[in-house]
Amino acid sequence: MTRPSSRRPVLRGLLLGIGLALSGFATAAEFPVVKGQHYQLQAHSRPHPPPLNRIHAWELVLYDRAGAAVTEATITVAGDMPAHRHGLPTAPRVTAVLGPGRYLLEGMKFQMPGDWELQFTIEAAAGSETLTLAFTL
Amino acid sequence: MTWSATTRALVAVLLAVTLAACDERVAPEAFWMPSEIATIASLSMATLPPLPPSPGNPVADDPRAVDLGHRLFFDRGLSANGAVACASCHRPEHHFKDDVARSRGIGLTARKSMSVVGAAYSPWLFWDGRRDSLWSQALEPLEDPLEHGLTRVDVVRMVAQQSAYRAAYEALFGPLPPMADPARFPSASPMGDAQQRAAWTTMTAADQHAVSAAFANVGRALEAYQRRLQPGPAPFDRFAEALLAGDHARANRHLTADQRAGLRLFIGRGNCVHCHNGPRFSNDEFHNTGLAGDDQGRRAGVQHLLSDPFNCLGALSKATAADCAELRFVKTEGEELEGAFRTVSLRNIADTGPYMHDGRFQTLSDVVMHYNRAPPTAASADLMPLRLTDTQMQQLTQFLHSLSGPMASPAALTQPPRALP
Repeated sequence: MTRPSSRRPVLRGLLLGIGLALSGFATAAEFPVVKGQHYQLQAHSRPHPPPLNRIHAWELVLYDRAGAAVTEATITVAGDMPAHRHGLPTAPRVTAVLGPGRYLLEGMKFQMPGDWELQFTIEAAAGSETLTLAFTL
Repeated sequence: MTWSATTRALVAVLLAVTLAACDERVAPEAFWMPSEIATIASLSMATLPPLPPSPGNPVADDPRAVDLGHRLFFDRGLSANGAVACASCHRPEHHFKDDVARSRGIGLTARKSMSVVGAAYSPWLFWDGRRDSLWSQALEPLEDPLEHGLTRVDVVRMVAQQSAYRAAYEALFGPLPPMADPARFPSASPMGDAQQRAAWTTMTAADQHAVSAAFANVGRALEAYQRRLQPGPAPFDRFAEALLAGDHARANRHLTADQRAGLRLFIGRGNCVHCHNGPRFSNDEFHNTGLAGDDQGRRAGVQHLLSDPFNCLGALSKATAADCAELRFVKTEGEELEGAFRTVSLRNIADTGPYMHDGRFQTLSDVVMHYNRAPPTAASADLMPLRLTDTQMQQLTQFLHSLSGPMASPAALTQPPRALP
């Protein structure tokens, strides 16, 4: 073999670096704000991105369309993997109000990598609405 | 989906570099995509976290409890017929499970024993997750007429009457109840046959509680021992370590070409990694794989869990509510619970069959063939036919053989304890 031996490790390192950069784009520092007819929801996983196979909590921040905090909302969550016939392995629920428009969602857990959809159903003064957050774990 | 200009540029560079790599005639099996490398890293033993605490067990990591639990685990005297120990169905030479389809204690049980190696990492125990700690799991077989066939009073009396056990127990947990009086402490259990349950009702509430608390402590000693039974690195882990270091030549010495092809299927088309993920190759959750028959699996298991007095929130637990997130947010409804069984770890899975909850498959090839066919079932199933060729199925099976290695436990703990002087 006369091929220079140093090129392949460099190539591999470059590929790995690009791959990590791309996966960084896919898992940005936060989830995007989900906007509906009445509400806007910012979900924060603690930690972000959500860990696999570990129960953890999320903070939900709820605004109205004008950007004002929505208090006294009832928020329920359901999870789904569209490619599989199952959802979350747990039954998460909001357990505390952390501040104006800020809600603690406990019991979050993901048992599978892949495409997830979370449906947040919001009941508050402006009405009832379901917002969907889709992401890839 | 809209990609930013930067992302598009990166993709273009990635494609260019990939083409350049192809141009260099890199052998196909030597090339791993970054996403594949990331998945391989996530499966490697190097990412195994420290053992999680056992909040219901203050002696979980006490060496004296390990020693007591070790002796109890191998003691055939801990059974109604003097012939059944924990180690009878959790045999060290079979990676702490057994080699029959359905385990046999005093009688024939409904399911196959599960390995206890690495079990301390799982939030759920048994195939249906009806117990939520290793210490509470250890209790049920002792009182099961088909397994050890004792009552909880029998168990506590046995510990009280054997001086070596008694001394070790009381050093860890304090005084035992005064078990010598058979009228006050008859052979009784709230879980036994009609006679044993009737006898249990003759005991005072205080004595019932004292016996149940001491019984729970026996489980805590057994947990302390079993926490030390941990899987060790296998050829796959050495492959992963070398691959992550960029040394393909060294990596390829640890897995054959067929095993590498099997690994690619495992993390790709085979979809195995959906459930068998993380360094133990298990997500510890419950899935219907189309084999339940009339066994309800998790649907019944979760109801047993909720009514168990030894569960994380139970009267006999030493955990606080804050320690019990898995139980507080447990899923109790949903069609996916029906006929669902816990994902087993694939560490040391080769040559430790039969496989599945009822041991219906003798070989790993049988298991892979089932997943390849994925016969439709009435209940919710997580399976889709894989359409792998015979060669690919063999490669997948070959890969599974690369997950076996010596346990990461002291040799003295993987065999019966030495007799006391």
